[in-house]
Amino acid sequence: MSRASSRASAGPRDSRSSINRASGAASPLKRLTNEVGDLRNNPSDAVLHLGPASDEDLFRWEAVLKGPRDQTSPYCGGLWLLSIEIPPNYPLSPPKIRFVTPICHPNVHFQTGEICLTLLTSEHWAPSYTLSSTMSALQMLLTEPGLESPLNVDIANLYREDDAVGWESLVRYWTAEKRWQGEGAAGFLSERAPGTGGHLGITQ
Amino acid sequence: MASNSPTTSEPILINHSTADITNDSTNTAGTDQAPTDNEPRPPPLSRASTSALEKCWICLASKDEDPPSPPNPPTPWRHPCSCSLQAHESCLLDWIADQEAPRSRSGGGRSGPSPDKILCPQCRSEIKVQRPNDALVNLCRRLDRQYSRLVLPGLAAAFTSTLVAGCWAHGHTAVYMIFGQTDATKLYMYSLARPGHNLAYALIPINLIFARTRFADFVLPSGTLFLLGTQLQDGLRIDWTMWPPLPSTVFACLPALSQFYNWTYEKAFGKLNKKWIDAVRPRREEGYEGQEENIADILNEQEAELAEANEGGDGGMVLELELNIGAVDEDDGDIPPFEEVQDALNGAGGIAAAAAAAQAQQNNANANAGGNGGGGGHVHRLLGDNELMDDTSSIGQTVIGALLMPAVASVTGEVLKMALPASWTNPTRNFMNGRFGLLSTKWGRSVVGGCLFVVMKDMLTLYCRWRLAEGHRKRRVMNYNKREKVYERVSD
Repeated sequence: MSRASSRASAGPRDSRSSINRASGAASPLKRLTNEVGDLRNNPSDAVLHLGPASDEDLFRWEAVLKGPRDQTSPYCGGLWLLSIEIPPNYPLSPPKIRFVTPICHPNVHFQTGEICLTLLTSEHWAPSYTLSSTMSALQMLLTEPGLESPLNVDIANLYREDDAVGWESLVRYWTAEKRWQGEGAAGFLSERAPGTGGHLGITQ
Repeated sequence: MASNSPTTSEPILINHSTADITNDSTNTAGTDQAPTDNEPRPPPLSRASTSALEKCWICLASKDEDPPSPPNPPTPWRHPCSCSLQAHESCLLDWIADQEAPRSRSGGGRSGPSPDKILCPQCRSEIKVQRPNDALVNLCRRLDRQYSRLVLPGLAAAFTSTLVAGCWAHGHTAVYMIFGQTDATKLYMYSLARPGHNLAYALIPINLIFARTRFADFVLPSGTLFLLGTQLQDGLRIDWTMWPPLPSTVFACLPALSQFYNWTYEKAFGKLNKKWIDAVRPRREEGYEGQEENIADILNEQEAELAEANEGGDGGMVLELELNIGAVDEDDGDIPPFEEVQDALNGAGGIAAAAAAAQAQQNNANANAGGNGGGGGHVHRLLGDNELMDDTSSIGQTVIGALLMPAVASVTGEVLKMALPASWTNPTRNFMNGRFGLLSTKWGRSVVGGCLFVVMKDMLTLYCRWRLAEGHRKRRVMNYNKREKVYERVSD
């Protein structure tokens, strides 16, 4: 693309573009606003909702993760509220994601919601991942747990010992028991445009 | 999980076509187009289809969103690798700088050193950065990297050299103590001229310590013979018939002497020793372990010590060969002939080792006898021997005892000088070969003193053990007199 045309396409922008210009090329704000824009056009399948928790702070997002569509998975039909904290050097460092809704999963700490996923470590994170693709990765983690370094040892042991009945029933129980029931039981979310944000119950 | 999904092409396509048709129309995002663009454009469809993919994989902005030049000149786009990823150069440079940072800040917590190559996260091919090439900077960077690799080896080297320096200092001190000021200074001056000899000082404490272990076992029998053999080869150095002997002869024979002493000790007192030790053992442990085993162990230990003594001599031997070669022409000294002293230096390790060995033998015998039964530990405590049965401390005791041996020998030698009549210790030459009497030299007194110390210590230990065994049978538990509130002696 020629210089002239790129200059031509750039004009006075809305508020988020003005943020871009002010804060330089690799600004996390610019990247986040781009992500918000992409989400609006191309919502993620893995989540019921994904967006900044408030309009003021783009660095604190929240999401409602959906269980896999696969009916045989014990996580199917589940909903979990996630809190996403975005580091100030965001595309270079991974976001900090935590399950607010308790989930029974080998790689998620039941109490704290801490997630053990290589994608979310700074060695393996790359700026080419987006929050949306990270959500897909999380959904994939539900069906394919990594058993090397479990944060929930009990359920991991059931997995290891191939006690399918045991872990499935346990997971199904917790998935149903702790299923996120936000405002309007997710009903109101569909009324809003995805990615517009909204308080889903994280009070921090 | 690449960021650019083809489905995002739709809105951008619209965006472009509207921009192409009317320059001043608003795009889908509701922003005004810059009214200045009047240039013709390539066909919209083809351009749109490619530009749809043209998003920076770091900031996710498409080319359309590049800021206008005046405030912020547009940064060029780069496609650094074979795959479809492309990005703003500024974004890439930021990311590369982050990757190259040694350790990322608190937020990241990346562990380990920075990678050598920057790899594309999608296709894993290398991303190359062109830098202004400054030879000096490159050299510095390379040196810096090498230097950081040298940290561990450097620490190890520092530690080793510290150890060697410590050993050297100890060996030097030991020679001074054994030989006295005058002779030791001569030896030192002599060795100064030959770096190899000077370093041999460091071998003395090592010999002393190893002489107390079993590892030296094999060296003993050959060591003494070899030492004497070199004397023969050297010619004129061996004179068995003459008294007083040469220092080298003395030190060469110390290992053999030590072994002989140990053998005699075992023959004379081994069984008694065993009996006394058993006498004080708790009764339930009697017969628990084979007594033969104990004795065998004791014997082994003694042999080990002898061997060790030998090794001490062995270490000195190398020195002796060299010293003898250089020493011939300086033979006619007033004070003890120089070669003698040199020879003695060779043996310095040996003497101390031998003496240490003899002493260690006793200790080890104790330790063995006691340690074997497990119940023996209290024997030493009762004896006031301070000998703990626990392994680490006994190792420490062995090492410290070995290192202290020269000092002990030297002090005992001084005591000898004070105790013996002056006519024995006065420096008078032997009329046969012109040498000084054994006890009239400092080194001779040290050797004799060290040996005496070992013998006396053994005797004392034996005596204590005997008394203890005697007393063991006569033990009685005292009664407590409640009325007068005193313990009463019991008499049978």
